[in-house]
Amino acid sequence: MFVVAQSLDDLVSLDPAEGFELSSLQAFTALYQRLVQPDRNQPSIVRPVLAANWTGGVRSLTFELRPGAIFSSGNPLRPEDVIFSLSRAVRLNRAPAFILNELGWTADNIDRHLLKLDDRRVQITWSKDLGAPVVLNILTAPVASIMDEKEALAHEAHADAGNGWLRSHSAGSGPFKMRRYIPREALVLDANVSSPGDAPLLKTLILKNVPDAATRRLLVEVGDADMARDLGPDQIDALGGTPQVKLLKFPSAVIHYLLLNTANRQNPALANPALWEASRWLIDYEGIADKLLRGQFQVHQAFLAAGSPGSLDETPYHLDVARAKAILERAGLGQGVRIRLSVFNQPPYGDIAQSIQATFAEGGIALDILPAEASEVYSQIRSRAEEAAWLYWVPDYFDANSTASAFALNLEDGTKTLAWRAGWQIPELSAESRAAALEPNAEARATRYRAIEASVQRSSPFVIALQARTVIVVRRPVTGYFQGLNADMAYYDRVSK
Amino acid sequence: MNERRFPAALIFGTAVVLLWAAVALAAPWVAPHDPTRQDIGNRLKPPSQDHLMGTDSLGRDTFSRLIYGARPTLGLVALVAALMAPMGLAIGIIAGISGGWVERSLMGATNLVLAFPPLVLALAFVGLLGPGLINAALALLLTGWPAYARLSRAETLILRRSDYIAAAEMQGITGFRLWWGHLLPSCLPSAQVRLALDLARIILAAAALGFLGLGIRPPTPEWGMMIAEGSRVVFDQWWVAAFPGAAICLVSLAFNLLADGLRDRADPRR
Amino acid sequence: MTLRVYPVRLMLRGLGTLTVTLTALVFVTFALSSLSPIDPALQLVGDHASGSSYAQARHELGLDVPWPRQFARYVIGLAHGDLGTSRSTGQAVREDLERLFPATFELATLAAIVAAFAGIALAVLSARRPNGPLDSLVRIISIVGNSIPVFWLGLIALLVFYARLRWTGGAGRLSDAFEYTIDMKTGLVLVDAWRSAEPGAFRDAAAHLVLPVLILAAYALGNVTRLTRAALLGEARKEYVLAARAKGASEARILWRHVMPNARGVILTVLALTYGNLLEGAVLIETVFARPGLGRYLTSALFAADMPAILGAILVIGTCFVTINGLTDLAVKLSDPRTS
Repeated sequence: MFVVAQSLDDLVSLDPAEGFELSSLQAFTALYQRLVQPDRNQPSIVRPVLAANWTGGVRSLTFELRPGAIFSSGNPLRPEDVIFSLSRAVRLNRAPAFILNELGWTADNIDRHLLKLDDRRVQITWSKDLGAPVVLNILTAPVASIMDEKEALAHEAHADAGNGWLRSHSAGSGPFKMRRYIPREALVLDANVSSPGDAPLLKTLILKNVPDAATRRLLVEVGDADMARDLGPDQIDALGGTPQVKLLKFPSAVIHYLLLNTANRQNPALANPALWEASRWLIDYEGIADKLLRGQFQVHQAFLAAGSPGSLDETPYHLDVARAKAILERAGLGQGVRIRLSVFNQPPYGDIAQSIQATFAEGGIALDILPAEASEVYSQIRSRAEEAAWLYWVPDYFDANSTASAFALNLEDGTKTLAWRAGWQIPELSAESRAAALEPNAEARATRYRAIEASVQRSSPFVIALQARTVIVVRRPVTGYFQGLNADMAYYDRVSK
Repeated sequence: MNERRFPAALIFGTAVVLLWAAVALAAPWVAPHDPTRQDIGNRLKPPSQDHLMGTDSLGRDTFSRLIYGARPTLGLVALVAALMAPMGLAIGIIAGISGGWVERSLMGATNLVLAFPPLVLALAFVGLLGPGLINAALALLLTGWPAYARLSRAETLILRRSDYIAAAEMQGITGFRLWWGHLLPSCLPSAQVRLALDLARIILAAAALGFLGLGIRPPTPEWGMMIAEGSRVVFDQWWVAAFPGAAICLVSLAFNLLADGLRDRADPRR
Repeated sequence: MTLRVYPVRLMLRGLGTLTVTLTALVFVTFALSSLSPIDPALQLVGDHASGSSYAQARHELGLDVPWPRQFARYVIGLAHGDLGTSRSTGQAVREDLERLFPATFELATLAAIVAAFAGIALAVLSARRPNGPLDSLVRIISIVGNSIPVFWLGLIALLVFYARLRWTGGAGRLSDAFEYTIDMKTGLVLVDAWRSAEPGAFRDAAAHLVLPVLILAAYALGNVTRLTRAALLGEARKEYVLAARAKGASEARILWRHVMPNARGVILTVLALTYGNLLEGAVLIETVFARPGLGRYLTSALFAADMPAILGAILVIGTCFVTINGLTDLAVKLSDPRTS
């Protein structure tokens, strides 16, 4: 029995077509598989999983399914299961559906885009202007998990395609299957020995909800838990010398940034690029990364996380109050600038915000911190009501296009990208982002993205400051855990103790 | 009865309350450090000469934050006390004098509010409307006034028919002057005791709200929130949570002692 | 009024109060939610979701109608026993409450029993010699007990007794070895652990209950002791006690045969108040000790603006509160020989 102490409070649904919280996404990696999935060590390479191989056409891909693959229920994998899984995700239209909408799929046209060719092959087509590499990456997203159609429909109620039942049960082919789900308490998983990806080494995996970080640390220290996630830097320091535990550090694709809402009419200073530039010099990057949040973050100032293909790793900015003040003076903003900063009311955002408040104050800008619930902050941003916010970005699917089309795309057609939310007008940069999504050659794509990142780094109302590191504490005998760049890539199948 | 002890409770309680109010008001002069100044290199240090109560997770001086933290609590208490008791007393007196459907509906409302679990209601109020001093004060106020209404209505009903009031009315004293000058004073002794007790309870309730994250916004120090921040590191740096907790205990205790002392003074059997 | 009809009338009136109170509670909560800045649909679908997902979520959550209509819908659903679906656990609220209520009930009841016994015992001991040393000690304890924030006490106790001394169980209701192997039929962890016949399970459950129960009891003890003592002393001053003493009855006899029965009404009321307080204290204790229960459910629901869950939890707590008060009133009236 392997016990993981983490917070499960965010978990709402374990239906891959619906769940979009960190805890559910990580559970999907254990419970389900997709046609293709990123290689663990080189996530830019896509490996066949439930698909054995594929061939590409014009806006189409034909997959041949893996022979002998079966679900945890014993039912064999068929093209009907693929079609069912993908079309229901689009039709149910829940939180993660937008990822599949990127392919141009909607509830009306989805049936035309998924075709069963024969008992072993299924063809997928799409209408948007995207190259095959991007589409393959999209199909690695958890929302594209393949589930057992027969099992799901056997539990269907009120024509919900099994949604009600799948919220707390699993019907997949992943290394684990669900034994019990007690909301807000625990997720108990058993090994799925018939999994096409090989049976896991553990017999039972328990994800236990422990909302308090200090308690999580206590549990792993005394051995009541084998692994503890999301410990703050203080808890980790406190564990420092303990021989019974060890730290696992993995690079993560989560980036933290400051957003300045230039569309906010009430605070015209925000629309002034001088303010954006000054802000870049008023954050104590090293102080926050190294001293405040020791080891849990690294300084990174571009929108593609280090370790992803196409990332820009130069960090030209550092804390320079004098320079910032000079910039503000020149722009006539030397006095009386006041900004309201919205942040999430949990650690470490409060601490980060207070650090920024202090350094901005030195530069002559007064920051009023407004901590609020995550949904309230997002609500403000959607309606463009906030002045500034400290946010984090997690790519929705593992492809540069996901992030680029948020930070560097503003089409003025109403598509609500991050750039739109910040009121940043960028017709040329948007065109470049769209071209990059079509580029078939990987090297060339990476170069294009680096150029786009440089633009964002130097002239946008986003101040990208930190990249997270996933730090996990395990008991000493534990081996085999791996965490990929993207938040959902939590691999428990090789874990043993 | 031991005469000596009661003045002791009263004196001690009053002294602490006054000291607390004084410290809160004089915070800028009393606190050794700026409560919001961060010193990240110096975080979570144990009590020392420079930092009498150690530093918190951002390197801020706990002692200074404690002193400044007295202010929101003082503000909240003052706000609630100033509004809750007068509001409740007034409603009760009006009900007692008017009688008829006015009395019935006011008392109905009173009983209804009394039937709600107060902390839960305060939680719902603040939870739904958002954190902050005003919302918290409002929540505590709205769940606290019924006790005073009941109290003053009972007194009013008794006095309404008494000779004392009849005599006053014969002298031409009616309406507002009547109940300001005659009815209200008879309610005051029990109201005072009740208020002191309520203030103790309110301090604890406000701390609870702060602990749950529904209190005042940072970086303003507030005791409940300081305990919440400290609970993250309590297993190693116990002082961050311990000192604000002790402060809450002390002030709450002072109000309880005050209430005890006042009650004993008001006890007609002495 | 004959004895048979009176309690029936009282009960009917009590039911009426209950209904009115609960309706008012629900109404107020709906009204408050209309002022809430949190957008539950956004909370549900997240920031990146498409506009149509968001609109669909709003519709499914019933948020696209004005709040009075939402209130009406909810009340109608209530009449059918449907409490809606929690937005943050994805489960039916009714199932959540059925699962969690026994846990809070267990905690509050055990704490109430401890507080009642200890409180009454202390009150009796101190009332025998008013202003004696024991009495002073008890008074100090009860005042101090009223002044400590219960969540802070819980935190310190967890630190000392679990983290440092390892005397008691820690967070949660059971260690993991038992947590997922015991079938929680009744939801009361002590009962289920006992019935499961797993070796060590009952001890484990008890070890995890010790701290929360004692702390909650300590929280309530202050009030119970103080008010019971006041009631006892109040009775002790009455003339019939003086008469009994003059006739030569022993203190013990006076206490048990005369004073306590007459103080019964006040004591019952005190206990009812305490139970109500304990329900609230459980909210904070459950958070500190990471125990599942209504309290934690409510606070999580508040942070998530999960209206069905908030309403469900408030209804259950409110019902308990009002029922306890009502039953106590009934018991007091019935047991008072002067009212029949």
